[in-house]
Amino acid sequence: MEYSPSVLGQMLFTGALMGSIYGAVAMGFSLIFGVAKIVNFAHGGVVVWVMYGVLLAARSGVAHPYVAGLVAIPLCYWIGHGVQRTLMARVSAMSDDMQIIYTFGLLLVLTYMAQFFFGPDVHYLPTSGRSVEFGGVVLQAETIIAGALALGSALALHAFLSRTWLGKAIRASADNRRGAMLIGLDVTRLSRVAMALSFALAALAGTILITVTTFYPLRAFELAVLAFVIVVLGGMDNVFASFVAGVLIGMLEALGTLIFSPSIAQMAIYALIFAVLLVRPQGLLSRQATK
Amino acid sequence: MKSTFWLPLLVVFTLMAASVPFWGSGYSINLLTQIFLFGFLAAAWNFMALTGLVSLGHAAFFGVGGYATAWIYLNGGANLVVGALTGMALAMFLAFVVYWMAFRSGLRGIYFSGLTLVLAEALRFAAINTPALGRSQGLELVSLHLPPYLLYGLTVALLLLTVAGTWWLLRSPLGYRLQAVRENEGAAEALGVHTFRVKLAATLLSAGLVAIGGALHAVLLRFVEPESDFGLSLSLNLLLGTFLGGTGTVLGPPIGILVLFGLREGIARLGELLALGSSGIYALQQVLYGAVLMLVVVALPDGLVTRVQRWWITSRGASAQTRPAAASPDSSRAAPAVRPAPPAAMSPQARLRDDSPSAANTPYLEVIDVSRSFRGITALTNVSFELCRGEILGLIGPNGAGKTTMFNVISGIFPAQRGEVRFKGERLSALAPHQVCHRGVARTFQIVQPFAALTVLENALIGALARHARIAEAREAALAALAQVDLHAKRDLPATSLTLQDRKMLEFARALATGPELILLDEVMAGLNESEKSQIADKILEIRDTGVSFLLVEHNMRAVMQLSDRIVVLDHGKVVATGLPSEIAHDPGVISVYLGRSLAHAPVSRAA
Amino acid sequence: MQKDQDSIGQNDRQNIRRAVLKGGAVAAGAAFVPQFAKAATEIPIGVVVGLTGAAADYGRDALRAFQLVADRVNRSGGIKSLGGATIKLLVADHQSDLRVASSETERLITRENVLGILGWAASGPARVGSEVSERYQVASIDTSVDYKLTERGLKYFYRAAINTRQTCERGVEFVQEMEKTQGAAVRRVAIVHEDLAYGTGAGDLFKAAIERVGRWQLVDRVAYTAAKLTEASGIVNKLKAQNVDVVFQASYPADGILIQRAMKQLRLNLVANVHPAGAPPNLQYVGNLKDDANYVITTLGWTPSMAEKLPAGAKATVDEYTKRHNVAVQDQAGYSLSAAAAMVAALSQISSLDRAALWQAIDKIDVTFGQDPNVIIPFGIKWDEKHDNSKAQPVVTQILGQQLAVVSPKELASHAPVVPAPAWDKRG
Repeated sequence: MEYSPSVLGQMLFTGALMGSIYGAVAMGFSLIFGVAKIVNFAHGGVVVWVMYGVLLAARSGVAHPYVAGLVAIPLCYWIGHGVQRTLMARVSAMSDDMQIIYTFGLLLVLTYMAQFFFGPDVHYLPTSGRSVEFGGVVLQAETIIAGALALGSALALHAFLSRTWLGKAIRASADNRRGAMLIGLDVTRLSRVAMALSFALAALAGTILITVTTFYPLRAFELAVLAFVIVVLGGMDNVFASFVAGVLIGMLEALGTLIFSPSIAQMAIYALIFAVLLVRPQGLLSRQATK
Repeated sequence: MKSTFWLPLLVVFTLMAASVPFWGSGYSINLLTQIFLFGFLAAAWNFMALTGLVSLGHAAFFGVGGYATAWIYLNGGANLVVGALTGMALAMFLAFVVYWMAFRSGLRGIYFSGLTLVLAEALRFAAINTPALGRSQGLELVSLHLPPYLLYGLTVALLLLTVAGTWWLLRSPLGYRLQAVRENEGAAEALGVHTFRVKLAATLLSAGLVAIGGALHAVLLRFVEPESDFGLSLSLNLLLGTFLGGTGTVLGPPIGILVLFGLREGIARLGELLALGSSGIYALQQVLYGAVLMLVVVALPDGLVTRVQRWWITSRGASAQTRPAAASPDSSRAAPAVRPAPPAAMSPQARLRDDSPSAANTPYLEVIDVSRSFRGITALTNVSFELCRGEILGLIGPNGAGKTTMFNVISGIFPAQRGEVRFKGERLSALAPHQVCHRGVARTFQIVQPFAALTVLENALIGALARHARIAEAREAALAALAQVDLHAKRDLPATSLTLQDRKMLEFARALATGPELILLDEVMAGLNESEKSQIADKILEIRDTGVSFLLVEHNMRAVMQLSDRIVVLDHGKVVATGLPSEIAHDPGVISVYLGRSLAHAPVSRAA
Repeated sequence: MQKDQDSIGQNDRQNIRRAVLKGGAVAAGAAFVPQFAKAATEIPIGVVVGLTGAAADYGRDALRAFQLVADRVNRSGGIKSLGGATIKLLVADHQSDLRVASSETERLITRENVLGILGWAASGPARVGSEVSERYQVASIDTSVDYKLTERGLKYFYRAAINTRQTCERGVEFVQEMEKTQGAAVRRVAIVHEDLAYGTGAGDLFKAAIERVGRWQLVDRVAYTAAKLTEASGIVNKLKAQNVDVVFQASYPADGILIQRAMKQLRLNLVANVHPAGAPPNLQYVGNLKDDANYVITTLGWTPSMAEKLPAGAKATVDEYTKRHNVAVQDQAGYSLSAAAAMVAALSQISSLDRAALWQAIDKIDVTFGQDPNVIIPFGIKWDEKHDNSKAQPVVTQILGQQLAVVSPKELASHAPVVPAPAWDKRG
């Protein structure tokens, strides 16, 4: 097989773009773990519900997917606030295994409620058919937009967390909850903001995903595992690192597909994460020297 | 008390289980075998959970066991036993390699869970892509015809053995150490527990048993394939079942699995009753199942077994309340006879050494030129001092002076980057905390960390296990240590029910139980009122008289001055002054370090 | 286990004893004794299909088909040779789970004492379930398509449906035919398949068939994980880079849709894209892809558009099904109608409710398309030495105008095949 520049280019770009989308999925999960120390498997379920919401809006002609997404994001932010108050408040105090079970239960509830209401069928939104071509590389317009949105939100989030007062406060309470309380930060409110942001990110992820791929209720499980694995690889303390790790995984997938096959690429990705964890247990991109 | 509750239950169960082959159809026997197999798997998973680590990838070992059995059956002459044993050995080897590396890297919490999950998934994909293993279709153990009651009997036997094994383990030295590690690894390490070895032992045991389960499963269903054998749902079900019943308990895992199965069946039947049309029912069933899981976590965080046990205890009402009360008069009446005379018990070692004339005044603990920095921040610079046997040496200094770092270096939590620490002439600096403990140096922690799930006696027992291999002897030593700090009467109470002062005494007792010659006390007086402080001070002096030396870090000037024979003053990681309390109190350098006020008013030490 | 006995002509009492002994569970046997003791009013036939889980669509279709045939028989007076006994279907859901398939099959056999089994409408459960029925020496007629099911030498397992070997080989054969008749040049081919049992099996079969052709160069075999596929341009990119002319593909609906879309996006122009059933016949495929689904070729045993060309009796059956259930007869339903027909035909040959008798009757059946209205798959049912349906012939269909149209064989074809498929740029 000839690995011509266009073939390689196609692989690189698609891999990077898909990886950014994976990163967007992982960021919300990472944020809530980093701040509230909650392993939230239900994150995948939220993404899928958003996808259904956007689907309904688009199919019924009410709104274009991106517009629906614009509505979904603040809506989910508000919902996230409420969820933290009701469901998640006690979760941060739970031990690891309790959290896993609790959020997994929540994931089941979300996923199968979606299946109950919407059926198990596969859906996807028809694409505009517009694409960008250069040098033999063909990129779907939606994919580019999705990748750009993902990157944009990652940068925005990074800026928020490192430059704004609220962002720094959130990071402070994540690093040292007690210390943050002692200096007068309202850690509960900060956790709430973090959770709300996490939901908003899920909404973003759902919106861009639905413009790009097929979905059905059980995607939620795949997304939950994907987010988990990405965040473990990238390191839990840094949301931007999760994004980068997502891009990395997207590119590995593309590379593995080109050289071997997608199935083997999956195995290679898992094997790689395994190796990384053993050598650098705090995650590939974590800022900590040791865990 | 516990055994009288569960023992009749177990007997009834065994009888019922043994009767099944006589009246059950092939179908029932198979179904029960599957349920008991999962109960056995959960009990095996439980061993791993005893270390406090949540493994989401036990399917890796299960699958290795199953596939090895299947492959050897098909290619190696239809020998099932060889296959199962090979699978077990492979799984244990895999576990050894993986967890050895993981523990060395210090993987914990969600990272560890992630590692295990990734391992199982990697193996699943490897199986999917390997032609020799049948790829996605897996392997079939064709023409394998074992009578169902044989498999059933084997499964029941394994389940009972594992449950019994768990009961025995929890009462063995390894079991106590495991519980300590699970509660608080750092504290356990300081008490001489070789945490790495303990966790690895539990892991290997767990992996080996789960592999046997995988082998049995392969024989039972006559096939292995990637999803059933390496799938995430298997690992999740083990977690769920064990948690539901109660992680770390003896009967929890199998009971939890039983309840899990029952729950699923119940929801399925409910679905049939409601007759909503199949995809509707299925979806709602899963929703209900998920909701129940969430509810269980909130309502039964310790699992069913623990909850039932507590209910059993409280339902016995008055008799339960009088029992502890009855215990104390009993123990106090028996005390004169049973209670070991503390000085006699503790001092033989110390006395022997005291008697040798040359031993007096030789440096016991030598800190020589120790330097340590963390990521550019220098915590200690060329710190040197000595502690003689039988001495109480006080280490003081303002906040951030490096006192706790010094402790951590001595007790082996951090190595010294330059210089060394010697104890009785031997190097201490390169040792791990548990080794330091075995050499005779114990420590307490600034923030008291009792092992919450254990009783007072059991807490002390952990320390005693550092010196005594057998439970019986360790128990005696633990009782002696408790007696020394006047906690003997409260020995059966849960550690969490103690007051702060008692908890400090418990820390003390734990350290004492390790039979130390030197104890590092890290701010033992913090948080106590005046009378409590003087009680502890008296205790320290009492114990010093039995031959134990002390290195104290304390903020309370009065106490340090009164207690210490000598004082070392640290500031910004350097030794500023060494000498008698009276000298230190008037040393201008020291005073300026502290800005003087409290020091100027400290009374001179009595011991001088 | 007891040996098979010549049971034709034995009286009822001996049947009861045998049934009880075979059942093994005294209680269960006692519950059924009264029924057998009376003039055998009900014939228990077990149905194990997936009503929930991954294979739920197929299972539900199968059940509908079985019920239709059973009801029809019962309405017209039952099985005459058994004194007008009616067929009672005892249904179990295997949830597309192998463990459940095994235990449910066993339950129906040992607890419900079914005479024979219809199932399992999914290859994995069929593999496991048939092991159980073989152990208990209960005859089963299956509608799953995995070719490996009949490679095991089981005596009591029969497959009424088409199998993957037939569909894959027909696919390869069809491309060769197209080369000749349409002058389509084929040099380089590739296989794309999902990595579970269905896809891998099809992949193996395609590979073997392609190697037998010899002329073509098999440039790649791409295995992917269906559940994890979020976009397929990586796969299509690879295919494009290797200049393939024909892609032989085995996918589930969701991933099939993604791959087809990527083919459009990257403008991979193929001579043909051939599937052995799988994604294209599924309503969601065309439902989502609309015109982008056109020109995809699928080989299978039955498709709704065949209804027009059926003999009258078969057509009536199809119409009845469509009216009753408001859906067209999809492939599983088609196979299941025919499987049920085989079961009924066998039941009509026995004179006592005996498992061994039923088994022998099933073994001997020879039903032809057109004679038995229940048999709708071409061209009838008769078993070869592997217990595959030697009369079954796959048809080749192509999606034209968003409809699955039969293009071969001629007697059932409604359209002529369009090969090579028009380039993407030239499509509307």
